[in-house]
Amino acid sequence: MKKNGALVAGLVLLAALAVYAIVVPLVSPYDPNLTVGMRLEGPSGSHWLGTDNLGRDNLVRLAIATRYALGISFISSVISMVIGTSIGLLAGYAGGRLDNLLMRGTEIVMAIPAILFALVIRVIIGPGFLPLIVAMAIIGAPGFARIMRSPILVLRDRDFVVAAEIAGVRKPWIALSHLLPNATTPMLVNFASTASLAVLIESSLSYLGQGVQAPDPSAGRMIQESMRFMNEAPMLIVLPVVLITLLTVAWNLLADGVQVALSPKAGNLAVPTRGGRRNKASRTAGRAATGTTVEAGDDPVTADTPLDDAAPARV
Amino acid sequence: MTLTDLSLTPRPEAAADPLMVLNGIRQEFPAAGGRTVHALDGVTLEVQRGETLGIVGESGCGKSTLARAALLLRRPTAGEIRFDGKDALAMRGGRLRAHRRRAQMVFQDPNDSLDPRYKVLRSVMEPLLAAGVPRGEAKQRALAALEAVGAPDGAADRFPHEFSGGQRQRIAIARAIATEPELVILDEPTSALDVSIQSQILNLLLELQESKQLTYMFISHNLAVIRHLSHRVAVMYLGRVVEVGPAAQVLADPLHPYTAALLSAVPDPDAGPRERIILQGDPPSPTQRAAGCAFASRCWLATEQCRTEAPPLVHTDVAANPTGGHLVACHRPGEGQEALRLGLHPASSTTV
Repeated sequence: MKKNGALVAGLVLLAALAVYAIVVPLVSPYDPNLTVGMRLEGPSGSHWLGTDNLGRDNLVRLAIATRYALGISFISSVISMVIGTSIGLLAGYAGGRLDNLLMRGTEIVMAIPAILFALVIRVIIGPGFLPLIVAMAIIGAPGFARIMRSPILVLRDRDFVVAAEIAGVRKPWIALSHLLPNATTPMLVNFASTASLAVLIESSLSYLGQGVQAPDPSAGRMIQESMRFMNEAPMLIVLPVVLITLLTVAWNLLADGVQVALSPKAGNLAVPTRGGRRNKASRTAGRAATGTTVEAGDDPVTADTPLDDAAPARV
Repeated sequence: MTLTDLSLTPRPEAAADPLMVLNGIRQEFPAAGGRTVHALDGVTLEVQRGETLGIVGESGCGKSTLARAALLLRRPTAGEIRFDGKDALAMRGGRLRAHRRRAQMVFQDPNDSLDPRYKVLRSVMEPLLAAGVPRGEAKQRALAALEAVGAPDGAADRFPHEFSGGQRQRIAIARAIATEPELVILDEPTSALDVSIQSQILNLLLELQESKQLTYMFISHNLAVIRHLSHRVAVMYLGRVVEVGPAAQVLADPLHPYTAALLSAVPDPDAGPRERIILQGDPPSPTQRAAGCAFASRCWLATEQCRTEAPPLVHTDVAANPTGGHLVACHRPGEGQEALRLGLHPASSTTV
């Protein structure tokens, strides 16, 4: 395989952030939630990134914020993927009335603004880690359902699927062994895009005070709390903003990288298009209209149509 | 090797118990605007054990729909399918799965009929495992099937994209025969292949038919291939069987004007200039069921009776066809071919 800069960069960045999030709080002498120095200290040998308005160490607090952001985006996206992919497989393969029902269901969920939905879940379940994950898992699922359904519609009529039906292979097994493996590219790309979106939603909710609760640090809350000291200590706002940027960039680079790595041109086995004839056309068409085509989403596209920027663009 | 070198095993005598009987199969699909597509409009066919039944007809005449109905992939709207004397449409669940072992299919495009993510062995084992064969035995039988079709050594552990089209088709055939089925439906099995490979695959199919006593339903629009492979031929037009009979008779002496027109379109370099029947217009939309003969709108012999009264599929003129078994659905059987023979140009013919 030839060099895939986006994939490497995305993986390296995510790995670095993960190591930072896990290792720094373990080796640091400071408790993230306790005053360990003077307030609003600048960077120094003992506090590399300075301290906040309560004299807490920024390096450790940001590490914990990274933990929350990575953990919530990863876990909620995994749950979204499992739920959404199942719905997409079922709708695309079963077709007919069930398909209609499930797709209208996903539209209803997608019609609700993400932040509003998360706030409602927050009210129902209460504050903390769990409502964030539940809300974002549900918000992300329709995207997976719609993105999976399109390749399944193409795959279900392909001869190797019909051959399996003729052989009497049970349909759930056909879905898992023939349909799903041939549609993994859009699924994985959408996973990374959904995770990037989840980082943003988590920060937004925390900024509104409805996400990660005090005194635990979260990038969104850190921004909100630091606004009062913007003139004295601009670093306090810049640091969490940089963190959010790094996280979303990392997930998006991963999405692009996965797209390239799993596309048929890279010489792997993801070649579900019939003889590859429509391949080039659909790729260029997909690139030209990224975002809009996928969001409109009902046209059956070939299973390997690029789905970069596939995440529903709404926050 | 040319096609003419292929030899058919003698066709078994028409037995009293055919392998499969399709009786009045109708397949309707809802279409836009509340209309109905009549994909199959009462197809009645018998498939004898050990024979090759060729099915010809132009695109959209229902050949593939018929194959799918025969394989119980889609329940026909009406009609009866008897397989080995048993009512196939009554089978459900475990009995249906047990039946599936006995009827398999080879597809047109070998690029499409093998899962690109399955190694060859897994693809060939799939129908065996689905039939409940234990894994170890399934592997042995899959390897034996691959050997029987002449797949390259070591093919089992490779992916389909590592093979040429002809080799992939051999693998697809191996999958179809792995469960030792009685009936194999061949849906244009050579039309996606290079001409040089086609005869190899046809030879392989003939060898397998002889060694494994297979019954073939051979769907094709290539009359040359049909002529050399089939014991009997059924000609389909717009969801109906218009003519069926022994291949030699149907192809040499067609009774239905549509068959005559089809045959006149086959290029024959030795025959020199000859009459070609050019049909006017397109086949009518399958959403509109003809009251009379489906072919009447394009037939140069059509009369008022043809347009209003559907001709049944019957033996005609037994005196002229003493061997029997040649059925046609036409009010004016044999007249199309007769006109050509006498040099009486049908209104819509041309000399090429």
